[in-house]
Amino acid sequence: MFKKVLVANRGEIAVRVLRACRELGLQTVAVYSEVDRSALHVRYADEAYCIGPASARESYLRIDRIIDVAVRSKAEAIHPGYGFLAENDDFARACTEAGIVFIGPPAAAMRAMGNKIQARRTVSQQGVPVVPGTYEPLRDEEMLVAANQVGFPLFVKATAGGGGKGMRRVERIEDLANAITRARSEAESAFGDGTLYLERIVKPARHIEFQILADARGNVIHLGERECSIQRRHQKMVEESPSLALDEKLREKMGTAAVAAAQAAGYVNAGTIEFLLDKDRNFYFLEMNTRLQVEHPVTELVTGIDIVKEQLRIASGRPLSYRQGDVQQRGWAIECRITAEDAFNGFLPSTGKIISLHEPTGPGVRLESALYGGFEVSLYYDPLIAKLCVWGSDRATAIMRMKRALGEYKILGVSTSIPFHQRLFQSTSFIGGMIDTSFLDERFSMEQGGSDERERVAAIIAALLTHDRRQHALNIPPPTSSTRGGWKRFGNWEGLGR
Amino acid sequence: MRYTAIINDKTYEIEVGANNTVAVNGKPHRVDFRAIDGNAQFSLLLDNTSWEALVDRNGDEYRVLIGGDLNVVVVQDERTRKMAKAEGEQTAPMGEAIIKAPMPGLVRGVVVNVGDNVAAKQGVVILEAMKMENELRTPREGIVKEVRVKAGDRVEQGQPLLIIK
Repeated sequence: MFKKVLVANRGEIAVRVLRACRELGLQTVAVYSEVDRSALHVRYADEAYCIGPASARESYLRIDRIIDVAVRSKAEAIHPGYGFLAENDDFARACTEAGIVFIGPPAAAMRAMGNKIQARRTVSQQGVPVVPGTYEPLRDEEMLVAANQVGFPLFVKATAGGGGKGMRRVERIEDLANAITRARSEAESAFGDGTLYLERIVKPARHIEFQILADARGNVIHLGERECSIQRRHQKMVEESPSLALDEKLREKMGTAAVAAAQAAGYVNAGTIEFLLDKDRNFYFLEMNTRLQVEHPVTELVTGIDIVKEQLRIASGRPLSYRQGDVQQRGWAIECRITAEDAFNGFLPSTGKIISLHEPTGPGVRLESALYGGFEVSLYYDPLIAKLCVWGSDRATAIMRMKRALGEYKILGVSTSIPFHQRLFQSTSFIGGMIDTSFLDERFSMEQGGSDERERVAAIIAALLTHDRRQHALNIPPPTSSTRGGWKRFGNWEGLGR
Repeated sequence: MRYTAIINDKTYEIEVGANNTVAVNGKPHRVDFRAIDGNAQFSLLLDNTSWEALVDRNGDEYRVLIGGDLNVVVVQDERTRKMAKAEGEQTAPMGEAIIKAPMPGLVRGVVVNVGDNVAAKQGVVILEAMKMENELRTPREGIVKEVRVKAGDRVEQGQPLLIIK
């Protein structure tokens, strides 16, 4: 095993990886941008090095500076987390060339799966069903012709894409040319590669993905599925494991296909095979994510396997600690992605300083977070600020536990997605498991279903606050107007509740 | 003191009395109301039923968040009711149309110049925000009077980007 590991990331995932390292007794190195000097990962690690200004392009994406820190600090391995450089094969290669172990797949496997068209070809050659679409890079005119064979509605997707970037939904051929232009431009600016492909929209469908682990000795296992159908504009908001849609037979079939897909790519380390599952229970390979996933904790909670520790073991050349037969799913786990977005205002990003924080705890609750009182949520980085995960003996227990934990979670200073999650966990469709990837965008609204009783209480509270202000209007300075929706500092409440 | 709390189209007549009592539409309740952290967190015992709320105020408008429900409450007393009525009678005709950033983001491009004629619903600014490129369009036809941003600028929500006359 390594003695010292560098974590090339920030936020909750950097802390997650640092925790695994600490439990294994490894020394840790953090890197940070100028605005992250006080961030939790910097304070948590044994050593920390500044790698540039706030903009990720000048810091967390600077391969040269990160490698330089690794060499200077004598770190033997680098964990990239997710996002930033996690799926950048140039980075994986640069690590290898500098004599540092990249904790992830070999650059070649990453490249093969990172190129979505190539991945579609590789996987379909193994007999794994793939979403109907195109398999070769096409020019714009060729794409217009191919579109009719693929069928509408369809997605225009970036070959180098991910996370909804460079992706456009197209209903009619008339809209295709414009969608191609926009998607290409987005893909070029986000990934430096404007190659696109077409993919038929399978609908209704569930997004089901399989976690796999592969060691360098050719052992590949899967850790079961994650249900990720709760998506808002292709961004996952809630994940659970297992999925209500799978029985033991289908789980084994999809798991076997996932293992075959990983083997086809010569994959090593942790990865995820994403599938779509249609209403007739046909499944189609969507893509492979060659990294640790945001939602890995739900798999850890039901299998008891620490995926990050396995990643470290695999990268150090050790064999997997588990065989397929050892993997058992026990109970039910759910994760809510807590983002700094205003759920009541179209999920606009919200920024500001965390002025007060109360985190949920108690039985069956796991919180992955890098928040603290005083932390500044900025526009520079992803709005994901924490992941609230729960485990229960069954799905109903896990849902009740999540509702309980969400109610305890109080973040003041920025607007968050917590109210959205609370509404979702009141939805009878969600509780009944009647979900697919279009559920949030088409059959869920923040406006529906507010309670009359809470409305009345809100009216009383507002009247009491107004009354208090009137009573004190003569002896306190006028409060500064607060910024909308930020749950910012309220003003002087010295007259209240003594 | 009597207050009118308005939520959407619904009104609540609330009388705040002495000795921790309120009457809501004539019905009396006992209240015990506490500020918890001096910021935005409050606790209300309403006839011994316990409620927690996060409250954000903007003038006479309160955004009250309770258990995932957001209620935007406008509170008026007699004086503010009169003020609101007077303001409602003013109409301000706009000579210029200001295109503002609907969300914070990064300007990817401005596709018109000062002096250009623009049609209604014409795309003028590309704003990258929320992981998408968003085309901002003109509300009506006119001439571009002023361009206040350029590609590469970071903009805040509500920031004027372009003015059409």
